Amino acid sequence: MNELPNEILLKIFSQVSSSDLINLTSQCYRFNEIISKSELAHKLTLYFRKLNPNDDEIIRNRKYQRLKIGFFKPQLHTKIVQEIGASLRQLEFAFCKLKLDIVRRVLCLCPNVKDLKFVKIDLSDVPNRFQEQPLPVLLDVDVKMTLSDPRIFKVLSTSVVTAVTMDHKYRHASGNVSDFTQFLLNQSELKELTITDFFRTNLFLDTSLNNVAFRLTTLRIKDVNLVRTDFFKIFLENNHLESLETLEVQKLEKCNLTPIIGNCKFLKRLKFDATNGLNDLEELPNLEILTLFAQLPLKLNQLIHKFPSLREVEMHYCRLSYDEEEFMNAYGRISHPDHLTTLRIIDTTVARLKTKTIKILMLKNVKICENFFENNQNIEELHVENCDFNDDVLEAAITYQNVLKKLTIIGENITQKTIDRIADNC
Amino acid sequence: MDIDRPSDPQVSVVSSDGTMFHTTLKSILLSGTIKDMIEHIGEGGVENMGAIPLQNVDSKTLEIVIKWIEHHKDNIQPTSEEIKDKTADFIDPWDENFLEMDLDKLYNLITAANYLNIPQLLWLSTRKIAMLIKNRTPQEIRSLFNIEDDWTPQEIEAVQKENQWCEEK
Repeated sequence: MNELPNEILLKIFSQVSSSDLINLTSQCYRFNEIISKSELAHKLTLYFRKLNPNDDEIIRNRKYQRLKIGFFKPQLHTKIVQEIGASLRQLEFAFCKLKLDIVRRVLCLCPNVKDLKFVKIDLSDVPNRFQEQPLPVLLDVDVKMTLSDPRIFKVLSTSVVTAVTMDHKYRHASGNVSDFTQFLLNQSELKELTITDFFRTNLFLDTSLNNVAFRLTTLRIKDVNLVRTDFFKIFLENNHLESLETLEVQKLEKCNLTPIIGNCKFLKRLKFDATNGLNDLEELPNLEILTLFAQLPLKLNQLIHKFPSLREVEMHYCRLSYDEEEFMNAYGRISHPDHLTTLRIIDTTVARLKTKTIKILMLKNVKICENFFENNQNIEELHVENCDFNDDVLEAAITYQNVLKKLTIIGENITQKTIDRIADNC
Repeated sequence: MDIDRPSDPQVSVVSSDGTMFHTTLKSILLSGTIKDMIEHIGEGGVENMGAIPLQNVDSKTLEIVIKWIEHHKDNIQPTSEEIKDKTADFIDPWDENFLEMDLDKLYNLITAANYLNIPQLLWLSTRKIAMLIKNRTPQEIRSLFNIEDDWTPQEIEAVQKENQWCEEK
């Protein structure tokens, strides 16, 4: 069969069932490549998309773990969900309009789902509350919701959710997320919360979330315009200061969180657009990974002094300078012989960088100055993407690096001469 | 050129190994490739065009192809689109019987049907292989088709894991 060309193999493969296709992917490298890169790849998912009278027959005796619902015809699909519901681990509703009661009934039939996803789901027939009908009880479930009607949360409040990702790009957005608020009030085990694109919303509009039963370890909040930022701050201060390990705050209108961040003593990862600078930020003894978006000159010396556990720094827009010797003179100790080893610098200029400790360096959209690599000789992994430099700089990058193990260069301005020089030096 | 004339003139084709076969115009027009060739001959006419050389088809395979097109010369030729939509339930018993051949011959037939652009024959012959794949275990498929296993055990495990939740549609 191997002498047949790909197009013919595809013709053959398009005539077999999905379970046969799965068997074929494990036959040899070539079959797997052909199938995964073709339009047949979609056949590898159970997907209710249109009326298919064979559904019933297809699902018999199979242990499904994942189901995607893009169409639901109660008399046809209810029976299928009844049969496979208990073995499902991942469930996705995608690109369709459903009665909220159908979502409720499907979830009731799938008690073991751990990953629940809603993509572009519109609702119809949404009752104010469900009376008498049971609500689903899912345990330790991770909910992701995008471009979908937030009233879905009406049927999730009785489940124990550990992580929620929620965006509010819903096109009929009324701004009303009171069901989401009610859902949050019912949660006790929630650890991760990600919210994005909330504009003109009634989230945190009143004091109802001031005290919640859960303690977050991860909070990501981006592109959010809260009317009452004071209530959001109370939500953080009252509940999560002691538990937060990861905090990502970006584009939060009119909300200065700097004082609160300084109180999150157990923070390990921080992503932060420091519009007010970092000067107000207090010392964070456990901080390991820091990502900064800020148009300000930044002395890494100060950062390292404030965050002694720092391992990785990524900075966007900041004008960076850092000199190890200066640091030693100022603070009387060597900066992190073992700690800060990874530096990612994006969309900026590097005024001065002198270090022996950085091992992994990524430069993206950065102007690299002449003697940059002479000053930084211990880099093991170097990634240069769309950077402005001349061949001499790059040659220096290679000749001065004794320990360079991995070099990645991406960009349009690479000449053959550059490539030859690299080849000569390696 | 009037290719639908009631009389069905003789046409000759030559296989890659030099064997000449005689068949009729109506039969050979089931091949889209040859139909294109003939339509481009123009005024000279079919009668005078001489034998058509088929560089990519050997005599054994060509013999099989000719047997099939002669049997089906009076059928309406469905386009490839129609074949796609067609339910695979009904297969002419003559075709079913015709396709009883060893795998090497079948591969050659598929390649020839593809080259000669005979959609119906291509569909039938690829379907035959698909039927052999259906409802077999990976091991059975491997031994039946003599597929060389070029996966490392780790890779195969990864692929199976990836696909274990995948199913129909």
